[in-house]
Amino acid sequence: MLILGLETSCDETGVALYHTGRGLLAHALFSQVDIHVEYGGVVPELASRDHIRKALPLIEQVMAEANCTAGDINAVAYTAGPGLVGALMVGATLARALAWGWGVPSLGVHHMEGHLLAPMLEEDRPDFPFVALLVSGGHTQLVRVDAIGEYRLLGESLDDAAGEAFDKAAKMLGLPYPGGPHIARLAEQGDPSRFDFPRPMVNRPGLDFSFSGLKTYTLNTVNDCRAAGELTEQDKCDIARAFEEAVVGTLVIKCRRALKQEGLKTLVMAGGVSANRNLRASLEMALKKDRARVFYPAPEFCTDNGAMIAYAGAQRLAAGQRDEGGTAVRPRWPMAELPPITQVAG
Amino acid sequence: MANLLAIDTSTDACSVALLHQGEISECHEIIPRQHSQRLFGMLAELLPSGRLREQGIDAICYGEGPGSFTGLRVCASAVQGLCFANRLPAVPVSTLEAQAHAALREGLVSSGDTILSTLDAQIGELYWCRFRVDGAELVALDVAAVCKPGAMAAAGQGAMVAVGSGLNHLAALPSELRSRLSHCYADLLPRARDQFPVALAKLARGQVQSAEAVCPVYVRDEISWKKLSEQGKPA
Repeated sequence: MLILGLETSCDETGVALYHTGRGLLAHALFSQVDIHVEYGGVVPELASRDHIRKALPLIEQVMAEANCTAGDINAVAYTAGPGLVGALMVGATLARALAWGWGVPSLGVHHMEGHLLAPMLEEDRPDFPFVALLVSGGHTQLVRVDAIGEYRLLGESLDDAAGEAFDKAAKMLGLPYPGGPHIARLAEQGDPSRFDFPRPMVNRPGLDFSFSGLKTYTLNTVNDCRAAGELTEQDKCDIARAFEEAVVGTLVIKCRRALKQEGLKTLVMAGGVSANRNLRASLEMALKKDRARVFYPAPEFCTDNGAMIAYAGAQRLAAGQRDEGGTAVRPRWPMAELPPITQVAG
Repeated sequence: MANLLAIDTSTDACSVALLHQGEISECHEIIPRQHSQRLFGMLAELLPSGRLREQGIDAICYGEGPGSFTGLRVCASAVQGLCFANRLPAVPVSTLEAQAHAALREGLVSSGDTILSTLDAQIGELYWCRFRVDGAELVALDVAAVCKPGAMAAAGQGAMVAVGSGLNHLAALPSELRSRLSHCYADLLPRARDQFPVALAKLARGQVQSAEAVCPVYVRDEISWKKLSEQGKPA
């Protein structure tokens, strides 16, 4: 079964073709970062306006790369939520129209399920059950995964998502959006012994996160540096280092706690922040001690992409699920509401 | 005569129409913010399947704008998908012009009249464009514009028949302009079937688009979001 996947939930237009027998045939992505950078964050109206210009050319591109024609495509999967309502609407309507025009089924896919299953696109893929850390600009969640669609939320951020905290800290340091890669770059030059930022909520039981206090602590440190003269490049590097270590440290502690609580040895990490090298290295080192393993997607599938939507859609379409009724996008959509499926298709 | 499918979701109305062998069938509902949920159901009421080429459809015309941004994108995305899947051309039609054709179809104007076609642009503004009625045809006298009602400056001195939801701002129009409005029909809406006269003429002239070129015409192109430089912060 050949599935066209379409992702337009935020500021990336992602398109892919996934075949349940032959794997990922082609994928293409257009990132709108350059459009939003001068606003310091994603402007929803501009995101929607760009998706509608880029989606169809990208679809043509992946069809050409995969050397396939419209008649080869058996279904269309698209991100139905969560995300920006206007942006979701573009992808969802285009997908429904293509499916109706081709006479094939369509299916709205949960964006975070796409992220969660993205490591399944790799050759070395995890077996169920596992704990998943979904960590991006919009989400920070720990989820127990027993099968596709069998999810139990173990903990989540009570305020900012980790990626959002990275963006806000970057803004305080005068770095461009999105902040994660810029913070990581400065952190490499930072002195780890100069500042010791608090690890939020690690001394409390449970698996929830909170990053707003860390954000305030960062702002106060920036202001202290300014009050002492000026905010130097080295100050920025040292603050970036302390900030990154605090976030990474918190995530590592909570992941280990989640694995221990659930009695599992496999962690899957996905979402934009999972591309952070320090986080990957720290988790690998920590889990090695616990004789546990961490899996994550290839770097290009950590951030939003069409491949993960095509894959997640393929699993559910192969199990017989499809859209019924009107096109309903869900800007807010708890993952626990997804129905389970038992059989993995390719 | 060509066979056409028309879609308009630029206002609270979700409107689709089929021109097939000279006969028009349509589905037109006032359903604010539910266009995406109803659109494909309404299309399915007019057509047995989405394989439009097999059913003899020659092109898809659509309300390109101005109107609700989200509504325009629902329409344009649907038209992109249907045109691409069926290898059909698209024909863009101004929502203001389709609305003016509604006035003509309903007998509210006659040849020689000038129509001021308006749509409420929200945030205290309106979209507008004037059309002169020339027999069964309309001639656009302006490029569609958006402005605050008090700043509206329609050229000329003659009387006009005003139509559309922009008349919600009637009281705020300049008094000189208001005095030129011989009749006002605020309840008129762009309707998919009223795209057909424009689309048939455009199709005959070869003024068509490929699926990739289908895109809303927002008219209002600046957005209220401030850039970092305007927020007083470093970019």
